[in-house]
Amino acid sequence: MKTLLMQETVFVEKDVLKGLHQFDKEAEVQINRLIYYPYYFFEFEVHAKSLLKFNGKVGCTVDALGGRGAIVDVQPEFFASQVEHVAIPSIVIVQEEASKIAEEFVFEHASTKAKFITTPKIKQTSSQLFYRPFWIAEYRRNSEGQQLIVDAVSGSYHPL
Amino acid sequence: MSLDGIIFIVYLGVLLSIGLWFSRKSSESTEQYLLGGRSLGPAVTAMTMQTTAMSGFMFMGAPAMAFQYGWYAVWYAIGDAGGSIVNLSVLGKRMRRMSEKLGALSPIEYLEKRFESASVRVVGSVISIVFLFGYVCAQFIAAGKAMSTLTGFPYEASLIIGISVILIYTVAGGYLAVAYTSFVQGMIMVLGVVGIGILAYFHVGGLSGLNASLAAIDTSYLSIWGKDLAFYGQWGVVLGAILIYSIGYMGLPHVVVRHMSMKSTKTVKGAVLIGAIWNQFFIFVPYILGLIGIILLPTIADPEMVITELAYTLFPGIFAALLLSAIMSAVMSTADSILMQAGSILSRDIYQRFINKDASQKTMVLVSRLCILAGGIVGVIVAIYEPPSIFALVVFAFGTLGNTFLVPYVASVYSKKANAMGCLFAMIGGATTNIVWTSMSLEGPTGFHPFLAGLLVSIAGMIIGSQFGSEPSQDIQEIFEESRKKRTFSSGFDKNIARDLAPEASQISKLLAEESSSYKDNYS
Repeated sequence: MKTLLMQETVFVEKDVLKGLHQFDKEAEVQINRLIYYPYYFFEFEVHAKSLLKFNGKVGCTVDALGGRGAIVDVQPEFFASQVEHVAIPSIVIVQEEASKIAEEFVFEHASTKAKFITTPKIKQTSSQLFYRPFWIAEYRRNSEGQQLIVDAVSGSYHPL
Repeated sequence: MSLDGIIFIVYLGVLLSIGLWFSRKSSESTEQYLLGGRSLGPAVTAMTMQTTAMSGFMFMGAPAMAFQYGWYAVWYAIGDAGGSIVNLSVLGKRMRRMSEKLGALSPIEYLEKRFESASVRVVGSVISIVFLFGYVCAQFIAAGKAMSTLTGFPYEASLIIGISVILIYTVAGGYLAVAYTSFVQGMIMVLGVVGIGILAYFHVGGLSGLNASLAAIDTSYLSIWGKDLAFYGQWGVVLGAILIYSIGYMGLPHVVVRHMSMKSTKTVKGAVLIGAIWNQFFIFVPYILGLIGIILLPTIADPEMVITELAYTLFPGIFAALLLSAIMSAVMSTADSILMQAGSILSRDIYQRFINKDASQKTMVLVSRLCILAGGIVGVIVAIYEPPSIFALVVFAFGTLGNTFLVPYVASVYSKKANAMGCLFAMIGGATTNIVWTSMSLEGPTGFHPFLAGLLVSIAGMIIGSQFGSEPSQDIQEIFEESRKKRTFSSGFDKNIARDLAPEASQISKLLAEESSSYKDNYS
C-alpha cells in the first residue's frame, strides 16, 4: 500500500458512463480500471517591471512521464490517500529536471503572454508531486472497439 | 486637443483601471493565477477571442474594398465566413490527430516534425516573420488614420502617436489585456458597428433601396465582376478572392500553447459556438457599410475611413469617438499580439536554434524585443513614406502566408509520399509566385488572382519536389497511416475529444502496451 498526494476523483464510474453516454447514446461503454498519472506542481512568484510593478503568483504543472509543462488555471487541491491495486506509472522525469522545465515554461509564458518589457524574475516557492486519476474505458460501436482515457477530475476524454 | 482626443485618453484610462483592478484581485488571491486563464463564462471568452481576431482590416480595409468594387468585394466575405468551417472539415481532424502523435505544439513545429527537416522550420519561420510584420504594418496605418480622425493631427504625426499608444499598450499589456477589458472593447465595437450598420441600412432604404441607389450611380456596382466589370469572366480572380480567406486560414502560423485545464472544458465549447455564430453575422457588415458609403459619402477622400465617417454622420460626436477608440483598441490588440509572436519565432526558431544555442532566457527576451523594435521601425517608415492600402497589404500578407503553408499542411495529411523537398518547393514556390504576381500586377493580364496563381505553383512544387530527396521515414509513414484511419466514434463523440489530453493518452498507451507485453512474456 502506498500513500500518494492526489487530486480528488470528481467523476466516479457512474458519472463517467452517464457523461460519455450523453455524447453517444448508441455506444456501449465499459469502465475497466483507474490509473493515477503523476505530475509535478510548481508555484512561482513572478516579479516584473512594466509601466507599473507587477508581483504575482503563477502555477505550472509538468507531466512526470512526458515532461510537458502547462499553466494552471486555478490552484488545485490535493489530499494524501492510501492506494492499493491501482496502476501507478513509474516517474520518468525527475523533480530537478521538471523544475527546470517548469521555470523555462513559465518564463516563456510570462515573456510572451504578459508582454513585460523587462525580463521577469521568477522564483519557485513550492513544489509537489501529485497524482491525477484517469479512468481507462472501453468504447464499442458497431462491433468495433477503442480504448479511452477519461480524466476523473474534469470528465474530459481522449482515445488511446 | 479636440474633445474626441480627450475621450480617447479617458477611455484608455478606464481600460487601464479595469485591467489593474482585476490584476490586483488576482495577485491577492491564491485562487486566481494571473498568467493562467480565468474561470470566465462563454460570452466573455467568445468576445475576448473575437476582439483579438478583429483588426484594423475589418473596419477600414473591408469597407474600402466594397467602396471601390461594389458587390464583387463580398466574395472575400463569403470566403471569410466559411473559412473556419472549411478549415475544420477539410484539414481539421487528420492534422489534429497527426500533430498529437508527433507531439507538435505549433504549426511550424508540426511541419518540421512531419517533414523531418530543420530547413522547413527555417524557411517557414522566415516567411512567416516577414509577412506577419507586413500584417502589423497594415495595423499601423489603420492606427495612424484612426488617430488622425480622433486628434485632428496630420497622418504622419498621428501615426507616431498611434504607434506610441500601441507600444504603451504592449508594455502594459499584462494589465490591459485582461479579459474583461477585451469584453468591454468587444461590446463597444459590436454594438457600434452593428448600430451604424442598422441605422445606415434603413437610411438607404434597406437592401432594395441600396441596390437601386447603387444602380443609379453605376449599374456595374451590382455586378459580381466588380465596378466597370473590372474582373469580367475572370473566374481565376473570383476563385482566388473566395479561397484566400476560406482556405488561407489553414496557412496562418499561430502559436498554440497547450493549456492544462483544471476545470471543465464546457466553457470553451460554448465560446466557440457563440464566436462562430457571431462571426457569420458580423463579417458581412463592414462590406455592406462600404457599399452604403458609395451612396452616403460619394466624395470621401479616403474610402478606408468610410466607417468612421459614417459614425460621425449617424451618431452624436461622443459616441462616434468612443467607437473609434474601440476600433483603435482592436488595432492595438492585434498589432501587439502579432509583434510578440513574430519576436518569439525569431528568437526561438532562428536565434537560439542557429546562432546561439546556449542563449540564456534573458538574451532570448532581449533578442525578441530588439527584433520587435526593428520590425516596428521598418513598419513606421513604410507607413509614412509609401503607405499602401490596408486591404491590399492584408490581402498580400495573408495571401503569401496562405500560399506558403496551405499546400504543405494539406499534403502532410493527404499524401504519404510528400517529403521535405516537396514541402520546401511548395513553400518557396507559392510565396515567390504571390510576391511576383502582386508586385508586377499580373492579375489583370493573366486573369488569375495572386493567391490562386501561388496555390497552383505551390501544388506543382509539392508534386515535383516530392520526386526528389528521401521518402518519409518508416515512423512518419506509420503515424500517417494511423491518423487517416477512420475512428469508430460517432461524430458527436469525436467532436468532444479533449485534445489537450493527447500527451497523457500517448503515455498511458505506452504503459498499457508494456503491461500487455510483460503479461505475455510471463505466460508464454
